[in-house]
This record gives sequence, structure tokens and C-alpha cells, in this order.
Amino acid sequence: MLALNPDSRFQLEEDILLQAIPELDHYYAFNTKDGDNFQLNHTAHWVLTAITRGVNYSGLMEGFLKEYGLDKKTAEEDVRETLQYALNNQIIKEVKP
Amino acid sequence: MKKVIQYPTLGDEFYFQWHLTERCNLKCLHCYQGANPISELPLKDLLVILNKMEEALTKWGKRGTLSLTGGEPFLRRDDLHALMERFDSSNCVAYYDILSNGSLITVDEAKALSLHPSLRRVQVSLEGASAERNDQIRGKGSFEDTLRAIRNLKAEDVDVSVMMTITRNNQDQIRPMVDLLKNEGVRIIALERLVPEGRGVELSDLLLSPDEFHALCDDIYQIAVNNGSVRILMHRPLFGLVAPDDPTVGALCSAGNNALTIMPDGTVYPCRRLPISIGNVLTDGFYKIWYGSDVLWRLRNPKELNKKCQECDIRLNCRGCRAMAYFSTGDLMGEDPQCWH
Repeated sequence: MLALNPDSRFQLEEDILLQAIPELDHYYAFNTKDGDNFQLNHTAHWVLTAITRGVNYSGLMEGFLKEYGLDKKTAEEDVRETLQYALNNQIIKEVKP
Repeated sequence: MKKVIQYPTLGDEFYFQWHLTERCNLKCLHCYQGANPISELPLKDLLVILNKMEEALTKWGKRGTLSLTGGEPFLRRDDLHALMERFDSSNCVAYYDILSNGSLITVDEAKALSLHPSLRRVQVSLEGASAERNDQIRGKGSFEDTLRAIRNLKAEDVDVSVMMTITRNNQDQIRPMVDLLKNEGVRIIALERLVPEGRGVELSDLLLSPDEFHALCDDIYQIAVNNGSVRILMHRPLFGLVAPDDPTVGALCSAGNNALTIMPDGTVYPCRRLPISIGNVLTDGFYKIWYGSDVLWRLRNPKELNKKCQECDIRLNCRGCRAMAYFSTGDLMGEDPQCWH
């Protein structure tokens, strides 16, 4: 179970590139070193893009709620699921304080 | 010796056009080569590239198809055969073709080629169905040299196809060419449009107008469906406009989708006709190039298309030839100047 607090921060792993063709609803994360590639949905791509801007978990949730207009519980589940997936696949890593 | 080639399905295929050299023993007037020489990698580096190809194909779950070419690839005959031998034993590569001018394909060479089980076919080029018409473009004696190559290859049961670059000067040669190929037992002809680049810039006046190209495509389609034994490859942008309901005609250009061109020094282009460097495979690797190139991402995104192509109702399935747009208008994402749609 991913432990999250308001100050939790993440960053993209080295060699990870995010790409998107919004017009076609195509969203990706790529590892340019080992070639791994991940097809993402819009929300997962939004979360990973927000992470590149250096926001903490609190800021991430605030932005996510505003962007998608979800109830807080659903939003937290979605973000947590995305973060867990990205950690499991070495797309992001947690930044230790 | 011939193995049964397992053809990849469209979605499984990734195509590499690999230019081993820019040196050539002909000086065809329409050639896309520019004036600046490009250095050649030694065989050991070519094998490094081959390994990178296999690694990428495996990672992507794709089957590789290749064209090994030049310049004239038989000017690096030993290296060419060394690569072919390596590809013959590759589990990642479905087959490869050789694109050559044919002038160095002797009886012995054809015999040697016939021993490579993953060689699907050799493509040679003709620009007209007679020596007079062909040699105007490709140089004196090239017609007879090419026919000799075709016969040498056929004698060794190596499949052959012919490529013809269409201009205003040789558009009348398509039907005679099909007849010639029938007589020679050649089953496939590929037609490409002249792109005004390299030496071909000098032939810009010979580019067909949209109306001329439309009329020609209609003719080609009629020849294709009625000629019997010679298959005219029409998997090219704009051809699809002629017969929208025929799945054998027209195709989205593979640049940015499932193809890369590798130059003799390892430089990578989206397409040989679109010589915009998007990296070097030895220093960058395929992953960084394929995932990170801004040029490739522009090519993939129909929203990036400009002018007429932007508004087009078939832009998701066509987008024209980007090289034609680039060299005719200066805009990579501009409209294809020969489109009549």
C-alpha cells in the first residue's frame, strides 16, 4: 500500500519521456534506455505531467479535482492507482525529503 | 535452401530501409542523393546496428522487414552478404529485400543471392520500357544491364521486382513497362513519384500537376486491375483516392508510424525521401529516436497538418507524401502538391 502524505513528492525516472497526441486520445510514457513503453489514459498522463512540474501530493490532488470535477474519494483512488502503477513500472520515483 | 517466409501482418511489421553506402556507379538524373558525400560505417558497426534493431523489434513485439540498399549496395558486396547471412539467422526479421540498380548482378552474384533464405526479392529500377527511354535518365547501357540482372536472378529463382519513378517524361511508359515485365516474368512493379530533391531538383519541371497525376492514377489503376500477371504496388499516399473502397490501393505513409531509414553513417531519417536527421542510431539508439523525435511526433499527429491537408476528410488515412510537401513547399506538414482531392 502506497503511503502518501500531503508533502509526498515524485519525479520522473531518468530516461522517461511523456508524449501525447491529444487529438487522437493517445498518451504514452516511454523509457528511452530500455525501450519500455506504456499506453496511458488521459488522467494518468495528466498526473505524470503534473509531477514533472514538481507539485507535491496535496497540489496534485487539488489540481486533479479541479481538472476532472470528481468527488474527493474517487479522485484519491484514481491518483493513488496511477502513482502505484508508475512506481511499479519505474516511470516515477519518490523524492525523499 | 529457400525458407518459407512468414509474412508479418500489417500491425506487426516494422520496416527499416538501410543504406549501406551512398556510392553508386550510376548517376541517374532523378536520384534523391545530394552532392555531399556521407561516410560509411565499417562492418563491425553495421553489426552493432543490426543488434540494436533486433533488440528494438523484440521489445516492440514487431517483425522486422528490411530493404538493404545504397547508393549501389553491391559496391559493398562482402559487407552486404555478411549482413544478409546474419539476418538469415535472425528470429526477429521476417525477410529483407535488396534495392539495387542491377548493374553488378552477374550470374555468379545471382547464384550467391539465391543461397540466402530470408531474401524475399531484389528490386531493380527502370524508367522506361526501352533502352532509349530508360537510358535518358539512368545512363547509357543501363537498360541492358538491368534486363541482364533480371534474367540472371530469374534463372536462379530469385524473385525480382522493378521500381519506376514517375515523371511527366515517362508517364506514357507504364503500360509498355508492364508488358515488358510480363515478357520477362517479373511479377511486381512499384511506382514512386519524383520528389524534387537531390539531383532530382533539376527535374522539377517534370513533376506532374494534380490533374495530370489524377488522370495517370486512374490509368494505372485500370492497368493494375486488368493486366493479369504483373502486380502494380499501389500502397502509396494519394493512390487511395482512385479507389477508396479497394483495400489494396493507397496507404498511410509509414514515416513516423512503423518505419525508419538508416543512412551509411548511422544517421536516421523518417524516410529516405525526407532527409531530416532525427538522430544517429549508434549514439542515440532507436528508442530515444523513436520515442523522442519532435519530427516523428509531428508526422504522427494529423492536427499538425497544414493547409489543404488540415481540412481534408481523409487526413487520418492519407496525409499525402510529406517529402513531396517538404521539398515543394518547404513545410514538412504542408499540403502534398500533387493531391487533387
